[in-house]
Amino acid sequence: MIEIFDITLLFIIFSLFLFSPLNLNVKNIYIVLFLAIFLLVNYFKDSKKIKVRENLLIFLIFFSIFFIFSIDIANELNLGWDAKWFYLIESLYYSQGNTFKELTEQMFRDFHPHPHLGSYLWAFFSNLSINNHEYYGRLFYLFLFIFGLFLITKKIIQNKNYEPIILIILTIVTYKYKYFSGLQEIIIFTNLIFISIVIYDYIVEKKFSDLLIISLCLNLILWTKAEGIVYFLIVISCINLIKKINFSHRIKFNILCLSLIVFKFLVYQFFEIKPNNQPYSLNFIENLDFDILFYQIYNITIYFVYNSINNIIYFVVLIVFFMSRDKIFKEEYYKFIFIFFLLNVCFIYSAYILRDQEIVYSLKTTIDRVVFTSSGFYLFFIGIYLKKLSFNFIK
Amino acid sequence: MISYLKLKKFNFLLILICLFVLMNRTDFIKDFSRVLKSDEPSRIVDRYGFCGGESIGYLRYLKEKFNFKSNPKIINFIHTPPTNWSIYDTNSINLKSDFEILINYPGEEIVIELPLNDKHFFLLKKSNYSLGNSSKEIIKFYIEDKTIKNLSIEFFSFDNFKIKKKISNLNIKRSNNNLFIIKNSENKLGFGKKNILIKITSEKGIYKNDDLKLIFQNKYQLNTLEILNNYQNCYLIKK
Repeated sequence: MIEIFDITLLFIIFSLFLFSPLNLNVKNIYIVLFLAIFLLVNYFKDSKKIKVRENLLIFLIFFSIFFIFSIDIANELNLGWDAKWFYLIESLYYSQGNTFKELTEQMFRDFHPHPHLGSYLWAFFSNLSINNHEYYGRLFYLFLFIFGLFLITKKIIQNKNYEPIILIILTIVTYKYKYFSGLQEIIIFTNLIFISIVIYDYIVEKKFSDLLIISLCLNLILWTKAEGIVYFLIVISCINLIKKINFSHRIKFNILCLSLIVFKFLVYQFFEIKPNNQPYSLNFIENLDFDILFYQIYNITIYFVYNSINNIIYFVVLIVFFMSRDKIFKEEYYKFIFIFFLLNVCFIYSAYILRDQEIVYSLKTTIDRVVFTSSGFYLFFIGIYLKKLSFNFIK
Repeated sequence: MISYLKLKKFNFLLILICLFVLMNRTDFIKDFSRVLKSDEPSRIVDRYGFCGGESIGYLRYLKEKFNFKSNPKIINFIHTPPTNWSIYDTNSINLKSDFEILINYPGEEIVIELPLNDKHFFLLKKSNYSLGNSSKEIIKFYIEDKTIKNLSIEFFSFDNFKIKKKISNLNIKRSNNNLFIIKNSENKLGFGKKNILIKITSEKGIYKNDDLKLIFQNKYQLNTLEILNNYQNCYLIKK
């Protein structure tokens, strides 16, 4: 049942992404909603099996959590630095009736730190409201976030009595207002939750449709932040390392992913967008100095460890890796998560080493967000591990 | 209702406790009453201030009152996140604005307090935010110790190999207003262009007190500008 909602939501976001070159128009909203309902009713036989009464409680809790956090966002209103600097400005292009064309011509040619999808969603949902308050757009990020946690709960917990409790605990552990201050990490976080769940299904069932959904999520990540390309490549590498993957699946999936990158490249070519304002350079390699390298690695390690403990998810996933060290190379899903973790840690180190900015300053201001972004990928894995652990305990 | 939802009483209680913890974590009751009591614009003013800090309240007030047809330049004299988002109009991006908005205007002079970087040197970073709105022609040095009459000021910068390189050395007497004044025509010393280390020596030896202040002339002198609106130290001026 839950896959229906998952796919429908992804479909809605993907449709919105396809509409993003156009200006915001009420017609687009109706088209997207119509297509979503059409998809829900006609393409999923399971949709008839949705039992409202059985799931009423979890839906009630879902919307209670959404309401409680919405009030927090409505009251706080404080935007993050980057949100004030460019995400909201990008979003204003859409909410003030412009299109991707104007956005690229007037902003992206001189200043293009990140792609536009998150800002487009922000504008789309703030324009849905009667009084066009900016924060309505950010409530969609909140919806996505709770939906990701809802999916994990539904997948892991079979007992309907415990579902709401686990969902609330997950939100208590992971929610912080700053993730909803207009920054885009929360979108990648949620997409990584989707991917981690769907890849588990793929390893068990080996259905190509799962890989299709993953590529859909990867595409959204690619258009959310510049760093999205790294998560895109890491996930593709991990999927290619899965043993016993059907050869035709592998080929089709890789071609699909390659075409997504080519598509982005073509869009950038067409609109003459140059990805600039990225604080990375290869000067470091040219002037390699081992003292500086040691100083950088030392600082990255200190801040990384501190933020991993602060984030809890990273801290727990390390414990889980340690506790299940025998399974890491035996079970496909464990291996997948472990390789993702290694590549992700390599990414964090190399990103800061190559960053053309004072290292301590950039670590202080950004590493908590970098750690948070990828932590979404491990949540479902931790859930699966705890579920197995509880079964063993009961036995 | 509990029976309708097929829920055990104990679990219902657990759910209520969890929800209570969640509400407590976000200060729900307080937030909810605030959202009910005040509308979005007043919450924005509460959050960002009317005139002070980011002064979003003042910016929005000006936009409503003057109905700008282009995006005025906003000059904030204290370092805060960008503020233009609050009144930004993407449809008039190519139009030149006749207006400038000054926020947190400090007066005719801008004072920069300099920290002692290491044992002997004060550091003035090129990225120091206040330098952007300062005229660098005349610089006044202020130190607490009134008994010092003469100063020898050495200016250093870093070369490509991060080695200190002396730029200039000046000997100055204390002026009548207890300040040491230097002339820096055409910004010869390169303030704002590179990080500058300053070493100060007085008749008492190397000056190491952490109380050095540099006073620059503000680029925006109000007596030469046409002021259209003013609230405390926030101003709307015509270019």
